[in-house]
Amino acid sequence: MRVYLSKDLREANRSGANANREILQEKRILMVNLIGSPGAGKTSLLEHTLQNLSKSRRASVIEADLYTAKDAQRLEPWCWEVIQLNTEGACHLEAGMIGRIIEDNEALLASDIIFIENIGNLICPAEFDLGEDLRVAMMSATEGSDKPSKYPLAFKGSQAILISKIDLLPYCDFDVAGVLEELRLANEDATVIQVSAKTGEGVGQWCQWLEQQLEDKRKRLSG
Amino acid sequence: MHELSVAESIIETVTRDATERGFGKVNRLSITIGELSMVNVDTLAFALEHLTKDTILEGASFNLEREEARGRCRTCGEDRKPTPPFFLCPVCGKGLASFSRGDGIHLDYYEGE
Repeated sequence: MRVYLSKDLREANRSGANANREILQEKRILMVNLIGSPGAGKTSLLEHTLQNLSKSRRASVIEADLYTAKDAQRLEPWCWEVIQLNTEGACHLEAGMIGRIIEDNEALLASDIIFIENIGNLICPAEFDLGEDLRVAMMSATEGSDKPSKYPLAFKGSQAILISKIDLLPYCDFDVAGVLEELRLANEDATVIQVSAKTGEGVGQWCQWLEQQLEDKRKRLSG
Repeated sequence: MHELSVAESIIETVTRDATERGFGKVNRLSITIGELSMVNVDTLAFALEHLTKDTILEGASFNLEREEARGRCRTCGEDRKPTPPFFLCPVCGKGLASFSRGDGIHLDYYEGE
């Protein structure tokens, strides 16, 4: 007997993402899903971001890696709360994993901003909504100029795109103008910010953007 | 390699539905895979074949169909086949506002007894 299901397999993840969104809305928290290749500089940027924000905001991190707690240990000094998530081989996070972490973690739910540092990968994480308010895609000057055309979906679905390690531009064949043009084609609505965790350049602008996004969300919720 | 979690989700969904209907065996599965879902058909077939061992889906045949992407152009409003790599409207060269098909994975039907 043939049974027609016509079922969208992303439905389970989507409903988990919406459940996360509801909790974050109720607690007036901004959640940011940071995606990028391994070694793009996600953790280094977060170190500086947390130091910058910690004066005025409670910023927490859900740190995802296949193995080790190295990154969580690095970020701990500046976090309101840090949670290390080890996927032990899985190449992306799903909404349910984040749901289980946030639903009963009182300290985490007292944050203003929660960053999720996703698994280093520009492919699979682009397919899974975690319930975040903002997805931010990161690419570094050392990775080459072809990332937007090779991994377009990672950049298309993001609200902000960070070009990192710009202090290394003099030593890399990285075509900034060409990349900016490709990013405009891939996603003309995204805010593009060039940053260096080494010199601090652009970190202030990035943190201001985050502050603005948090204020905008809270205004919408109050309005 | 998120084909593994996709395969697990397919098996779980079909097993639950088939068991509720009193089927003891599933012989065939039909799945549509959107070209933007980042799922490789061969890898998914391989994952299904291995993960269905010792389940009611063991030995089932899998019909895996690829679905082309379509989307609405934000400028002209028409439903178009996007131009790679940036999913642009082939007529006006602007980005598509949303995809109408080809970005998901659909479990169409299964055959059980």
